[in-house]
Amino acid sequence: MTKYIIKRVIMALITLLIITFVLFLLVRIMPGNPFPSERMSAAAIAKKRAEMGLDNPMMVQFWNYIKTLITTGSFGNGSALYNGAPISSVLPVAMSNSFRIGGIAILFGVFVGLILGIAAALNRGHFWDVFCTVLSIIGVCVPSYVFMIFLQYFFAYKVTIFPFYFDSARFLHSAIMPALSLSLFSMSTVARFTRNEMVEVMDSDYVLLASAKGMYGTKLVTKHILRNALIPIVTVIAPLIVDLLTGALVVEKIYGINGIGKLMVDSITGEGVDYNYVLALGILYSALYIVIMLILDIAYGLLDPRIRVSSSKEG
Amino acid sequence: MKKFKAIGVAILAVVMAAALCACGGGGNEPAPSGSGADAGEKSMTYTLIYGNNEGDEVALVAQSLKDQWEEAFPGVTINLQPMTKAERLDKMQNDNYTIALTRWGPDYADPMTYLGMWTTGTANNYGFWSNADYDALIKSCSSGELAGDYDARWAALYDAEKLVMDDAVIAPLYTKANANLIADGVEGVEFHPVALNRVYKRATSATGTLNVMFATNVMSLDTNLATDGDSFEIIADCIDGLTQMDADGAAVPAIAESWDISDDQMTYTFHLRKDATWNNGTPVTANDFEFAWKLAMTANVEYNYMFDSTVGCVKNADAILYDGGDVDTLGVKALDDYTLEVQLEAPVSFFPSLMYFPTFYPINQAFYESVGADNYGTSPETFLSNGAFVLSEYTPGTASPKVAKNPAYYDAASVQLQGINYQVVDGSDNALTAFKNATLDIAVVSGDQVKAVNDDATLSKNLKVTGAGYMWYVTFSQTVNADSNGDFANKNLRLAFTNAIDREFVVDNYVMDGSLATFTCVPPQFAASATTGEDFSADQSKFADVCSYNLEAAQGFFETAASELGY
Amino acid sequence: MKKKNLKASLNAAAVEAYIPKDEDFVLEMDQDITTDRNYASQGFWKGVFTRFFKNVRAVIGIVIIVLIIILAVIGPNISGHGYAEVIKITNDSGKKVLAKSLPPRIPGLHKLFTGEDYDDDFGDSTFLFGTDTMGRDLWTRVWYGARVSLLIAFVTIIIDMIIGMSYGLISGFFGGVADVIMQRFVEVANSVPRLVIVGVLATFMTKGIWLVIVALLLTEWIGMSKIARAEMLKIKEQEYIMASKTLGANNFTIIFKDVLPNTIGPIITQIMFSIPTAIFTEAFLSFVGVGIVLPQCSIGSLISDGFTNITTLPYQILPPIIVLALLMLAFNFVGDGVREALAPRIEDM
Repeated sequence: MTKYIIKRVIMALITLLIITFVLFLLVRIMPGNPFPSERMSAAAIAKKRAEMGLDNPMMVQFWNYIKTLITTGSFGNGSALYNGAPISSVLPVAMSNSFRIGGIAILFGVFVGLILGIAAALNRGHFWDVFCTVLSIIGVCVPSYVFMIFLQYFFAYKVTIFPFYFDSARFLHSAIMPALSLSLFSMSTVARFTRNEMVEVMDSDYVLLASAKGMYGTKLVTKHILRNALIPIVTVIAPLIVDLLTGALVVEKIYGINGIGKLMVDSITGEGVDYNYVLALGILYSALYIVIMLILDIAYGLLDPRIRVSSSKEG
Repeated sequence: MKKFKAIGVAILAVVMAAALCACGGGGNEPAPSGSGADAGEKSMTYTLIYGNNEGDEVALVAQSLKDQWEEAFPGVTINLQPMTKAERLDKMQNDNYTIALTRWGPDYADPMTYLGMWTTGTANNYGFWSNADYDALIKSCSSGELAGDYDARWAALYDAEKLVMDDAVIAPLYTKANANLIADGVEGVEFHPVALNRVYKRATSATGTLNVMFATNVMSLDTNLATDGDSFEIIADCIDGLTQMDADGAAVPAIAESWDISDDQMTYTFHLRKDATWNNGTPVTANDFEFAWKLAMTANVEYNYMFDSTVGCVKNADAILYDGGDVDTLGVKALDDYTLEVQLEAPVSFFPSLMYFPTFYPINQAFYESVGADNYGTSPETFLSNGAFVLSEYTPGTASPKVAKNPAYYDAASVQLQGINYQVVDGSDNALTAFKNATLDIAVVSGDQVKAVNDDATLSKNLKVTGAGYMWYVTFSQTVNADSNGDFANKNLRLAFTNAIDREFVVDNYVMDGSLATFTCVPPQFAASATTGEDFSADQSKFADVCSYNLEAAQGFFETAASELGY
Repeated sequence: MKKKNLKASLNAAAVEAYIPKDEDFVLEMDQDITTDRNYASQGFWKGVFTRFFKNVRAVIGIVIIVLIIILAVIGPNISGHGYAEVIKITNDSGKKVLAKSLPPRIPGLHKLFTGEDYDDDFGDSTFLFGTDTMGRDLWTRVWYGARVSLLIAFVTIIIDMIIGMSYGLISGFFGGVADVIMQRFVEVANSVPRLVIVGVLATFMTKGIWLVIVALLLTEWIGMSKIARAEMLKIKEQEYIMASKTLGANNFTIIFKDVLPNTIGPIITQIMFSIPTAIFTEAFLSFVGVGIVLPQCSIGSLISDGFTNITTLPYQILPPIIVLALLMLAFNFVGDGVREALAPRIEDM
């Protein structure tokens, strides 16, 4: 297992390098200008491009970027966004806001989603099942930002329970509404998948056998049904985690949260296209995604001994 | 095995359904084909580009233009193409568009801030229009022989404006207004259409603090790098320049107690007050100005053009900016700690009012160098204030920057507010709810929310419409390029399009916030004559023969254009 | 056979002397007696259909989908207004008036309940869903938008089923180096932000619905491929796959004939969830300017348009959200119905 993990980590680093390169190329094809200006002369803009090294051959630029990234751990300065402030002065705050709110959302969404899904599967065709179906459909059909406005309208305006806008001094208090609205999509997805996976597993022969042997109740559900149903559910949860952690653009905008989602959109659709921000955020997103997928693959092994056997044979 | 077949059939069914749907009109634009007498073999199809991140009303205005033009001219098709502002500017600057919806806000209180845009070779001359008489006129008004004779210059600017309008280089649409909601008990906030939109030095509120809405993020607190109104607002809260704006927008003393103007009006000597200090205790001296101005010259920044011969005419600015001259030759000199001498290349009637623009604000050299250029202005610790407020909470990207009263301000006694809490608000609907919730004391609403406010007896008392300064206009590319076939090089076609726009209808139904329908290429309300105080564009009907809402005239122009172009 | 023999011997006992007849020696194997006439003789498809249409929810789902498709086809034509038509009239005092942001109105009903006409310039016009901020009929636009969104939904289903599913199943089945490479590719593909992808695409393609479809093609299969791979990992170690391998089945047969039908449950669930995601992706792309081009619309773009005035003019966002929710509800019901019909549980038989 250790050997397998080491191998995967090395592979992850190589993947990250490839991703950086692909992003590096793509971002330079995008329409828009890294130095948007309505007043500067063409010569002045050309000078700025030269200062940022954008006139060098692509490979030289890439090599310089990677070298700076590895030796100093710095993503460099922005160009269009925040007028060239170092990315290190912007990113940590945005990351901490998005990660904390996303973390609450994912915990809440997965927890409630699992419970709802299990309840629905065990009461197939009855109240909880219908409730779960309806909730999951509302959860996927109504975008999270509409929920956000709804919550804001009723719980910050009609009844003043929560602050109307995000206030970092009262973090937990002001994180509840955005986290709740963000969690609805993951809650619906998890609930629906759990329900369907459970139903599938409950119909399988070995569950029939287990119940025939007299096993019932919690033990049957946790030991036989849930454990087998969990594998595909974990697959669904992993990308949801990455998406939630990397922020939700519109909710962040509505609630005035200085987060990663907003940063990403600002760096592309703001005044100009800020190459370094797009790259930094892209690398951050990929790194998160790869780490979570790595954990997921290891979790597969823990959840299902059959996969453990086959992957250790291969690796 | 049969199950697999079933899935195959299902896929096939789905493909067929999708194909049917596509044929059913999913994505196909039923382009009205050219019909009637005007339609020849070529079709008159043009693309209108507009920004989709520049306010909710922009898409509505663009659609209305399409609607009005297609209705006025049978056979014309307008395709709309939304894009980010960055992409739009990129396309316009590289001449890869046909018609664009764009805007310009005045940088200083003189018609030249608009008229300077249409000289040959200027980056903002998106139509690539060129007129030698016009260029000569503008040159003469900005730094030539007319610069010193303020009345003759004013008259010459009218002539220049007429050249632009007669040729329909642009089609002005409307001058934007802000529909501000101001909470009860808030008094004395000054609104200006130019440079600084809101000034709080003399404001009071019932609670002692103000909660103010920002529409966008603060981009930078570095006076040299900031480019947007919200950044300028915070900078001006915290830093005083040589002069400041009074309630009417005129320049009155700030850091400069007084100034002397030489007889030829080309040398300004500013006498600085001795009790002004930065909030780290060091006094504000003339060197701070000299340093800041020279920094702007070398730093390659957006607004350093305000020193050059088109605006400020500071001595040698052109040579330094465009010909690699030595920055030390710039015509600004600290004669002693409290005397600043500025030499100009030509008289500039509005020079004292330029001094309240943030680019001309001071920067403390020792502090700037100790925090480093990269980090200057990225947090309260890396920012120095000499003004009415100090920065109390800020990181780049924050949605809620805050400023607090500066006890060390030389005029602290007259500042009533204890602090201002800004909040970046997304969308007019949200702003209205936040205002009703008392989360905001000053909010800006637009579109349907203004109507909702007007329909509400109590809320409508809080509404105050102020000029936002900038003008929305349509520009036509007059060249043949990747997107355009060059039809708009035809003056009659441009005139036809200009005269077919019902600006009042657009303003009343889509902009709705009190914006003014505009028929002049220099908008009203911001530029007053230095001698008479008269608004440059008060008379909106002066170009009625070439720019008004006149369908008959428009169709006349259009027929001439169509025959000239061979349609 | 045994029964027949028994009967024969009973007969033999009852009748003293039995003379065997010719038919007693006909080989009974000709008759298909191993077939269960009650159930399987209906044929696979017939069974699926029977089970599907016995399911009330599935039928409701089908009815809703058909209704929405019918409305999407005829809806825009029956209102008398075009989807791009800005409704304006010149009133008696000669002023041009725009039918902007009018709440839903049916003049007849209004008169019935209040006894009076609407006292504005559009007193006798019917707008079932009201009008939008541009002054267009929302009824027309909602159904016109439904066309676009249905197209997006079907495209998503195809992408999910063809690209995503095959990719995941193949990656999971072969494992080893193939899996490693394929999964790294997924990581690379998934890491490029969607905004960057569409930005780059927009430099090569004209903006509009086809760009949206290509963008969806490039990104929407990833979620499905993960589900399919996980299912494959779960199933491929099972005995019947082993049996199939032993019997010499080739990889293609195992992947698509043995494994695929058994993964139908989670796959249908995933499709149901990727449809609204795709519809909102399209809306987001329209919002950033590479999706559907105004004045065309989709359900997603109508929702984001309505959102700008959600508390001031809430009726503008309701119709598109309700249509989308109904559509999703129906797809879910049908999806569940198909799943249960294809893989019936023991108690259903």
